[in-house]
Amino acid sequence: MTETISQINENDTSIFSCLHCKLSPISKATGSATFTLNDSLCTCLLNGPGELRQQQDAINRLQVDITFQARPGNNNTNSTSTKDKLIEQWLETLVRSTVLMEYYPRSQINIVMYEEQNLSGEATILACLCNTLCLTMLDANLPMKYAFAAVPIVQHPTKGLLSLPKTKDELASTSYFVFVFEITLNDILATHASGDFDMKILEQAISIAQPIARQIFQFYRQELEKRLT
Amino acid sequence: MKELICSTIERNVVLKCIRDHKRLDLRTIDETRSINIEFRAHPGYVSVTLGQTHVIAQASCRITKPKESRASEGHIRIHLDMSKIPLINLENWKHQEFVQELNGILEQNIRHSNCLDLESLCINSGELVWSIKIDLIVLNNCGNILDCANIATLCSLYHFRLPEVSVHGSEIRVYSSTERRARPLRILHFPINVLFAFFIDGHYTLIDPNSDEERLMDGFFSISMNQHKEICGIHMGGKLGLKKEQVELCKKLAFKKVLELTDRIRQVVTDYYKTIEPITHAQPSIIRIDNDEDEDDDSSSSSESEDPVLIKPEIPLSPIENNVSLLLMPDLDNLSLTDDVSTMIATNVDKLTSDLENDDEHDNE
Repeated sequence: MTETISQINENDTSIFSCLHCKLSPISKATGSATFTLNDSLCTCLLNGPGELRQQQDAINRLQVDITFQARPGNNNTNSTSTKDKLIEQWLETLVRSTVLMEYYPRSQINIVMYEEQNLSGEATILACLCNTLCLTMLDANLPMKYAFAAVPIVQHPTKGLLSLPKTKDELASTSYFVFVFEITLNDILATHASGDFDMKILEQAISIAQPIARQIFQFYRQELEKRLT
Repeated sequence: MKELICSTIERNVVLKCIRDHKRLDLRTIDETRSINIEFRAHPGYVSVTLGQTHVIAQASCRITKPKESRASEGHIRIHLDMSKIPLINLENWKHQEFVQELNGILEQNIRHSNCLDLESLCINSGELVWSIKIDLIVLNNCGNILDCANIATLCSLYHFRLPEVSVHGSEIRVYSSTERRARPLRILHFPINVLFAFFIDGHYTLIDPNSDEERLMDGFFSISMNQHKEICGIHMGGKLGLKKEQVELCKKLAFKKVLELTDRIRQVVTDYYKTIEPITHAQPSIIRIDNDEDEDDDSSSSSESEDPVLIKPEIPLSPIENNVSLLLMPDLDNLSLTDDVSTMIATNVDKLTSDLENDDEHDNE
């Protein structure tokens, strides 16, 4: 579809204006990062690897403990909602696959993710969380097999498939995908999708997302270089 | 997760510096660290850093039944969450005690000083009132969480916008921010907290201790004052006994800080609502046909295509900031009058105009 192809060309030059990040905003944590993707902002901090609590049992590997804190005040209780717990579990699988767990037996890492601002729907915030998580792990110098980046794609009723959608577009769209790519082979690590679509649209979305992911990796590299120079 | 233990050498170095009236971060005895206040697009969300100490605050509102003894007053609750930071003083129960102590001091400063006009939160006397809750989350503890949390609470209250309500007999209608502009809370004064740390049997004092100094202090003395020289709260913690002259000195020092900070908080919030914020969001419940806008400033184009029926015609449109209110439009039939009406959260948009600042000034006279 010509619409989507032209969208890619637009995004090639303007993707870096959608992304902002700040490394180590929290001095006492082992690693932390704040990442902005369009209108969504997330902060993540990582503490570890440290001592394991007595109840936990992780003889040969690292224990990963992720907490996702959505914006407070929305529910009556302070406990995490089921949706947020799902996000936590999804992110935990990502961390488990990425970190070299055998290097730290009988230890645990604690990851806390805060969603600070979310004006659009779910796709952008999920992608923002993944990217923040990767940057935090890079900031903490945790040994990882690969870096990963998440790209949100939405299906707009009139404009077709859009990557890194603006808030207006995202709120008007019917279905969305979030693809997490890894840096070595640009293969898919994880996916989350919601809505009405068929395989053709899914494959099209993946082909749109891959070059965007490469640019996000370039962005990571730039940010880390800034820190080291 | 626990904090690192303070070694004897560290302890000796810091105490020696204090005896020489010096500080490791090169501040003077009565100098506070730099304060950075940032707002996000959600009203009532503020992120405050005092040096490296980082606290975020979010204000939210609910409609509830008032207390029987105070039928026309709303409620305000403050909740401080320090569960995600490393344990202070190495023990879980000591950490919990510390959290409760700070929470108590904050409640005393904010609630008991009547800085928020609770009667303005009344909707229907004896039946429905607004209940404001401030959730504070400590992200980083580098000393003096109390002051940072206090500033965050005040900024959050001043930044928050309460949805408009109209009462028709026994039914009420809550307007989303697109229908009627959400109004600010009525804040009567700003009780600013200043913390003093005392060392070596109370002989030496410091303002705004950082994390090393806080670990080694004998005790702290926190005084909460507003710009009218009214004391809103005094609290002494730890193993501390003070003379009257010391307290008087602290009061004088605190007052200077209070004046600066009050102006700063007012300025920062007013500036936020004045500047043209490029953060914008489409309205999910109202379908509109918008032209393609340029990336940076969506607000200007959407204001032009604004439907005049939805807003009061006498308010002049201006392409200023957009606002997201924390209130969902409830079904009118399902608005129950039980104790805990479910929280209402909205994702609608609003345009605040320059009238808002005039309202602010008027309200805070």
